[in-house]
Amino acid sequence: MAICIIRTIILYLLIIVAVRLMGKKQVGELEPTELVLAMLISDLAAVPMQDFGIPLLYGALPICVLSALTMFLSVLMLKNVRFRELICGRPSVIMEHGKLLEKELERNRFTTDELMEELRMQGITDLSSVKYAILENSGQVSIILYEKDSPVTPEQMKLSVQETGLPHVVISDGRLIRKSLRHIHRDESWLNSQLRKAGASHIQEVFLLTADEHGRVFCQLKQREDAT
Amino acid sequence: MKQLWISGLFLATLFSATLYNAWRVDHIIVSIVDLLTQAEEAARVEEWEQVECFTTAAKAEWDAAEDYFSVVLVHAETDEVSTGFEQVMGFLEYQDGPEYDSSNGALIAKVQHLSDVEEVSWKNIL
Repeated sequence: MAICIIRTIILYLLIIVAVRLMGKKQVGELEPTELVLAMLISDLAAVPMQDFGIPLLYGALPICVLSALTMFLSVLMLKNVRFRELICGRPSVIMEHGKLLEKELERNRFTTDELMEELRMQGITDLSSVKYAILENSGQVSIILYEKDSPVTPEQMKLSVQETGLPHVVISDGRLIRKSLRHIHRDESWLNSQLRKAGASHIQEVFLLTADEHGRVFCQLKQREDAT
Repeated sequence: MKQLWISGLFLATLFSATLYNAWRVDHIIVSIVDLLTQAEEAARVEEWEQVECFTTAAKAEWDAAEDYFSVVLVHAETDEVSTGFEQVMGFLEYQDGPEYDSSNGALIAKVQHLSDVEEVSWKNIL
């Protein structure tokens, strides 16, 4: 059993190193420690589940050790910036003032095709408009445009705009969610008036109704069966 | 910082518990192997009453620890030892010297193996 713990720790650290060496693209949304935990835990749980000859502890013990190690490393990363850089890496600037930084691209094994794909996904077609492109630890690319190429904001245009609130689902598939109604500080008489405005006589006729705290309402009625 | 201590303490507790387990398994195994070795020596001088006495004592110790072993050791290995005991008891009943010697020797090796796999050593880690 002690061997089981020592082996788990060695393998866990080894896989973290391997994930770091694989580069940012493999990491996705998770931290390397969390990714390794997700990779290992499912397999560890499955083996004693299928093989009754292996004591349950042989599966449970490594899972406990891995969870504790992940928690331990996460807190260390939270407290120590250098340790965080060692485990998670640091963001890499791959484009600066409209120019590709070849060495950084090469170091991160990030191809120009992948960069172009990321730029297209963000609706950018002119490379010279990019002030900075940063490959984040999560593997995503953040693009910062020159001010002249950035979309204008209402503030820059000196326009006054109405704030929007967070829409709450009040009716979902004909069912009233009273909690949402309380969140937006409205009552059922207000809801009935909204239903009348939308041309519905009953809650069951509504497919989706959302409303925010500023009173902005979206309502879609259920499609009639005879319409299809 | 509290979480760091909790996780560190949890890891240390788990590791200590497994070291205690290794010590406890070894402690029980040493006692059983000792009894089986004494039985083997008695069988060489054909003292069958003593052989039976030592083997029964070893079997009683094994039975007492079997539930614990089934939690912490691989079931296939503990099952092999249980079968080994049944064989040795069978040869003991007929006082079949050579057969008893061979099956008792195999049983000692199987029991000793249970302790060896729990030992914290480079051989086991690697």
